[in-house]
Amino acid sequence: MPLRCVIVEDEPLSRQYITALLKGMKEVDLCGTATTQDEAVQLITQLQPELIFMDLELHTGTGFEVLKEINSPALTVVFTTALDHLALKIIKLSGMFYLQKPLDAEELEAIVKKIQGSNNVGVFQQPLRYLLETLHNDNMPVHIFIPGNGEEYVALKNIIKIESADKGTVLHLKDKGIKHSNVSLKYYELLLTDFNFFRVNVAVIINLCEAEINKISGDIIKLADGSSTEVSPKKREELFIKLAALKCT
Amino acid sequence: MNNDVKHLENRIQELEKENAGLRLNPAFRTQGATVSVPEEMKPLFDVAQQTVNNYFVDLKMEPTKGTIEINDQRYILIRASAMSKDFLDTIQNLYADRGEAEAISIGKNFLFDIAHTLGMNDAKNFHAKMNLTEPIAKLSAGPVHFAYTGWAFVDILPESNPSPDENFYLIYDHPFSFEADSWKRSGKRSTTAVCIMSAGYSSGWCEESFGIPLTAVEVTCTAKGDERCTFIMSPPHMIQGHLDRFHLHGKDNVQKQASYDIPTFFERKNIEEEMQRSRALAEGSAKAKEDFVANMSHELRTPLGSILGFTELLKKTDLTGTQGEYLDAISSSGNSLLTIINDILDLSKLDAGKFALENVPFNIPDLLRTVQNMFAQKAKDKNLLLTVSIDAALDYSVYGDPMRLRQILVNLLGNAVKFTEAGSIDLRCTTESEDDEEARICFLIKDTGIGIPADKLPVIFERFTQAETNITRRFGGTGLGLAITKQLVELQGGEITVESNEGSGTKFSFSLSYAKAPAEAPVFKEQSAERPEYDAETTILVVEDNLMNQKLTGIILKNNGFNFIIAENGSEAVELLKDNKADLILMDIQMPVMDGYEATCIIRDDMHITTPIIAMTAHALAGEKEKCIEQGINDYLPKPFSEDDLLRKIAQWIGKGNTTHNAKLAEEIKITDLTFLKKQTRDNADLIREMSEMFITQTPRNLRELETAIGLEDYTAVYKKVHALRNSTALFGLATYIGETLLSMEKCALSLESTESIKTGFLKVKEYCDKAVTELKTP
Repeated sequence: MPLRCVIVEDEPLSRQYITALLKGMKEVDLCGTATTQDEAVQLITQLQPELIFMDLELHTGTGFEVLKEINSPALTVVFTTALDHLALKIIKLSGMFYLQKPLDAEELEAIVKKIQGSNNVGVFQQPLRYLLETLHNDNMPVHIFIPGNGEEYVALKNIIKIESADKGTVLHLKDKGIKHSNVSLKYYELLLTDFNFFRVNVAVIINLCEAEINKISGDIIKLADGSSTEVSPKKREELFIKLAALKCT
Repeated sequence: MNNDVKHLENRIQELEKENAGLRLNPAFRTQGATVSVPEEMKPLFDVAQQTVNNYFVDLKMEPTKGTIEINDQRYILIRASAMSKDFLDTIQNLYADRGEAEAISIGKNFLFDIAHTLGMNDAKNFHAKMNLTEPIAKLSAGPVHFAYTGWAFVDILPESNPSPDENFYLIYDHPFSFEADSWKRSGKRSTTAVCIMSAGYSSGWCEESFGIPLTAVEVTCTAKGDERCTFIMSPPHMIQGHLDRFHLHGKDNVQKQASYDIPTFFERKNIEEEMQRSRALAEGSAKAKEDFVANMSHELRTPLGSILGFTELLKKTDLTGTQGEYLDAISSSGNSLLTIINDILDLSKLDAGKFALENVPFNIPDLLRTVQNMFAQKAKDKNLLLTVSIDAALDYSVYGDPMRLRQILVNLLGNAVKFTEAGSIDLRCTTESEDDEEARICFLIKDTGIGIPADKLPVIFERFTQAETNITRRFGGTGLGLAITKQLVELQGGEITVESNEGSGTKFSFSLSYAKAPAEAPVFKEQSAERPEYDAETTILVVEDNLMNQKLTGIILKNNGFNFIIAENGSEAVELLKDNKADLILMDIQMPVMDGYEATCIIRDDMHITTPIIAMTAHALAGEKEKCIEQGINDYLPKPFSEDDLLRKIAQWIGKGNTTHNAKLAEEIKITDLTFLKKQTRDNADLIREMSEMFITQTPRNLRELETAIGLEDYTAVYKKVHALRNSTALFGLATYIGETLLSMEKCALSLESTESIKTGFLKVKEYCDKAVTELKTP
């Protein structure tokens, strides 16, 4: 059974392009297109599609606003975006599907096949729950997706530090546990720097809200698990700036 | 008996009187004068005596409340020797490590300064309290007040001349002074001046009274074994003369040596003021230096540019062998001069902290090979073996400043070639350490040249230093190259080291850290040295006030078949553009009447002319390029430029978007690229045609809407339009040309800033979009 899908895209050329790409795939059945925030809310509520291709930036609002308005976690959404800013970081941290514009036909097909071939669509709907949680929390992630074998979520506040490891990274948690992840430290640095995390040296990112730091010397006195780590000299100035602007909740 | 009674009664009366005084009975009055003065001054001091007496008459002392008050003003009691002898002893202990003489001098200067200030403050306060306005009345209260407060008694000697000018001269004795007393009571005899505070306080009081700087020096003192304590007070610059005269003609003549302790108070004050002045001057002169260097660069580089330019042109005419040689000499001297000016400019930029480093992706091996090519011929001419070995693992691009790395290597290799007569030069590049994101690369330049003597090694990186003074004569150079090289290395976070043995060669090495660039990052390439292709059927407007430069630029353009118009200044350019069309504008920045920035503003904002403008300027300082681009200028050509530089820039801008004049060129170099769509749609020709049609109709409308939004300063609309354009143009491969521009326009619109860069960005985007539409219309 092909997936019933809708496209939310306001830019005519991009819409024509993705429409053409999807029409060439037997795994999907395109049953509607929306170009504004209101249209999108109406269309999705009415058609209850199995898959939504959602442009992040609409003239009339954002894809986030569409989802907040519908406020149902039982949807499978693939974001499409030409941007690499905060919104994309939120998407990545929630574990949602996303495609970078201009869309690559192969990537699109891979996602479609993955969803269509699965017996349990619930798995693909799970990230939306966490995305909505973030969106309702003033865009501050509450749980983040940890790419790896387990594919699980960890509360952001529970993370003390993230360290480089042999294959990927290790997350040290407040409840003394650790989590392995198969992505690089750079991945977390890019995504978490906006959310009170800071890479203090080549091998370690720390949660600034869970660290005791000497605000004069920039030395880390201790982390929540009692451990400590070096702050690389060239990172100090940046660290001071971060600390000055730090707001923990 | 009666006599005894009488005597006792008198004695009781005296005691009662004394008692009343000790009990601070207000009825108690001081009898007689506290100051002894020459006859003619007496009336004056009688008044002073009365004034001070009136002041001190109201004295309260209540130890239970910790108050001593005179005339409603708080006083404190301090043990006299604590202020002088004890204090000096303490200072001597504290500063024992400096030696006795210096310690005493520190302490004495301190005491004099404090007392001087106290004297001035007390005088000011007293004068106000007692409503004294006449300078002489103010002054004469001083010695009386002095006695009342327990400092000393004063006898003013008749030779004194208290005139309120530089002839002020006061010579006086202290029949009693608390300081001399402190010494005498301690049973010690001092070898240096004793009554320092008294001198300071007195001169402070008198200075405040007369409003002229005064100092006082103790010339004799009973605590030193002299017959009396005598002082001389005068303006500081006169004091030495008075002291000398006193020494020569002094009737006491006890002072054996003519050296007195003259307080350095005034000297120090002068030094402080001097320092403040120099600091202000230094700050001003740093700015002046910066301006001077910028101006000098303009003034020197402009004529030098003409010299080099005309030399090149002259070389292309028919020449005899000798003439050719002479020209080569002119050109090589001119180029050395240019190098020197550039070195000085670099240093001034480094000093001013204005040396901006770029951070662009580039390929180190490519850069090394370019540098090798530069020196290949020179090395061959000298029969030197020039080898370059590069770590094979260095197969990735890095982020950094290629131009600065190049400059460092050129400096070091240039030196190596210059100072090596036989043998080889090696440039080696190895990876020192690396991880996923960063690599530290080590560069080593080794020659078999004359080497550097061991004692000169530590100074070779200093400015204007060469290993031997005769090096300059033998090899030339300014001695700035290595100083710049070192600063450039350090600016990029590295350190340069040198090893050398005189006669057997030199080895320089430095390492720099670079972030690794992703494989797909577009890599910076040095402009090819090949002659550029250009279409000469073009009209170029040259805006330039300097006659030599007008001619030079004109001849180059004419020789290469361009049409050109000359405008003397910005305002002439604006006038000319009203009736004439130009395909390119070469704009000088510094011009009289109307400068290049202003002219550009009018051309862009009022006349809406989008013709590319290339700025020509000798202002080679940091930030100039950015400033140009901010103002709506498209590109920047630093003066002096060679014929090739100019032609390359022209070729770069003609044909870019100027489709009307360059249909031929437009056809040759297509900016639209359908590869992406073809691949993605599996070559669906119908779809691509449909999409192209949509692009053709949609894009001009989007551009118009965007222009309107920019005009209305509606940044939300600007953001959305730019974003839409970025999406649609990317499908046709235009991201290579305008992707970055559009992205930065989006950012500007979001942050509601730099409208100028949005406007400049729009011009570029429009040029490309128009061209893309034209291309897609003609399949």
